[in-house]
Formats: sequence, structure tokens, C-alpha cells
Amino acid sequence: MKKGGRVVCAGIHMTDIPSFPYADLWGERSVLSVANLTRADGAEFLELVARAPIRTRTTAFPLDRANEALALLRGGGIEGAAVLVP
Amino acid sequence: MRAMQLDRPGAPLRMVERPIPVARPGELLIEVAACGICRTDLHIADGDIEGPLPIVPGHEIVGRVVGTGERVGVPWLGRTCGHCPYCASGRENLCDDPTFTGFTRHGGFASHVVADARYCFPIPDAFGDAEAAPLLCAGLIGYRALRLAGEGAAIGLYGFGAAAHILAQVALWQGRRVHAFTRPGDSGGKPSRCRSAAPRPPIPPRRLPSRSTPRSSSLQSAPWCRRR
Repeated sequence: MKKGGRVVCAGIHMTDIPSFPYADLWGERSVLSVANLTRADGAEFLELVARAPIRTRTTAFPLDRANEALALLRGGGIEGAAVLVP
Repeated sequence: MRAMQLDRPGAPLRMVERPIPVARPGELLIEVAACGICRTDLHIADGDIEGPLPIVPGHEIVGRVVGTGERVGVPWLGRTCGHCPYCASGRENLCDDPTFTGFTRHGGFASHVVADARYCFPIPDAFGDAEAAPLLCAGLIGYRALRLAGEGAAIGLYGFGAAAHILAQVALWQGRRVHAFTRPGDSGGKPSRCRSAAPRPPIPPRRLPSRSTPRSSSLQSAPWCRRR
């Protein structure tokens, strides 16, 4: 990663970060996490997707097949996003 | 109403029938049209993060308000205290006493859900119900992550799940170069649907050194992490 670069971790839970040489961090590189959202984030993002050419790709599952969908997500077998439909 | 409920970590979700909840003042009763599944739901189901049980997971909810028919989205942030130092400084995402949809209050793996109206969003018309659902967390918190990544001209996405497939489009639209890293054999997560305004030849796949990391036995700083 270039000087000044950032690694942003957006998960609520991850495995421990292994140690690494300080030289890899030096040069004002940073590692930070993202926690939750603010309502301002939501308003800004939804305004953006309304005017940008953003499309989502989803795989729908009926509500009673939630466990199957979770298992597929765990195994990385879902393209795009899994969505439950009651 | 019907709901898929988590009774204990590691157990499969169980279909339950219960009376339709009543919205209190300031809340909305919503008929769920679609609810996205997020990696966080897996962490809740597996007990990697611990909250009250039983719980109905799901925090990427698109539905219609019973009575008015208005379409709304319900995100992970279900409520904040409004007065802690974080709330008072515009950082309600770090609230000291938050409520999280599908974690500390029942979520959208259900036919109906009740949500605090102040934390619900209108949904852009261009998106169908199911298509809008992943915007509520994968898109929204992913967007927060993209913003925190700064103004760099090149963005690397590690893993290509629901968040990355949205953020890649945002970053390309912003005029950035996007690189995606996936594991060998991860066919479902391949970034096959990305299109750049100025397509570049893909860099041939290269296997990176990987180490498996044992889980920590130390105390975690996040309050909902299991003490091992």
C-alpha cells in the first residue's frame, strides 16, 4: 500500500490481525474500522444511489429457507446479495 | 406474523408464529417486503457477537408501513440515546447506548417488524423491494467505509460480497480504479458484473501468501464480543 494509504475494515467481527513490521505502517498508512452508521450516512448514500447508475444483484429466498441462505452465504456461494422474501 | 428466530448461538433459525406487534408512539409497524442477509447475521447466528436471545435477525429491511403504505427502509442502527458524548458530537454510530435492528431488537427475517420512525429511510423509486434491501447495510455501511478510505484514485476491495458489488459501482462512478481480491475457487463472489467506463485489462490472478490465524483468547474491547 502506498504512503498515506488506508485499510478500512467494515466488519463487526473479524479474526485477530496478525502482527506485521512497523515499517509497513510507517509513511502515515493507517488501519481503521467502521462501526455502524449515522442517519446522515444513510441520507447521503440513498441520495447518491438515486442519481448514480448503481444496481444491485440479488438472490431471493423465501423466508422459511433462511437457514439455507445463511449456509450459502457462509460458503461464499452467493453472487451479489442474498435477500429473504416473506 | 411469521418470523425466523434464533434461540441460541449455533442453532438453526426456527420459524415461529406470533401476534403482530403493536407500534408504540414514534414507531412504525411495517409489513416486510424483503430483508437482505448480511455477514453480521452470520456472526449473530454463530455467536461471534452476543446479544439478547431469542432474537429475529435481519437489518436490511424494505417494507411498507401498515396503514399508510409508505415504503421505508430499516437499517442496522435502530435507535441511539441522543445525549452521550458521541451522539452530542454527530457520531451517533458510536452511541454508548444504541439499539441495533435484528440484534438487540427484533429484525426483518419476518413478515412484520416494528421500527423507530426516526431511524427509517425512504427508498429511491428506481429500486424494487428486493433490489433495495442490500442498500440498507452492505451499501450504506460500505459507503461509510469507502468515504473513510479517503480520496485515493485506486481502491482495493478484499472479498467481493454484497458490499463490494455495490461499492465497486460507486467507486467506478466516482472515476476511481477498482481492484478486487477474492479467494481461489470463490466462484459466487467473483466480480463478474462490474463494468468500468474505461475498461482495463484484468490483472492475471496471482496467489497471495496466506496464513491461518488462530482465534484470540484475550478479552475483546467490543461490549458484545464473547468473553473467551
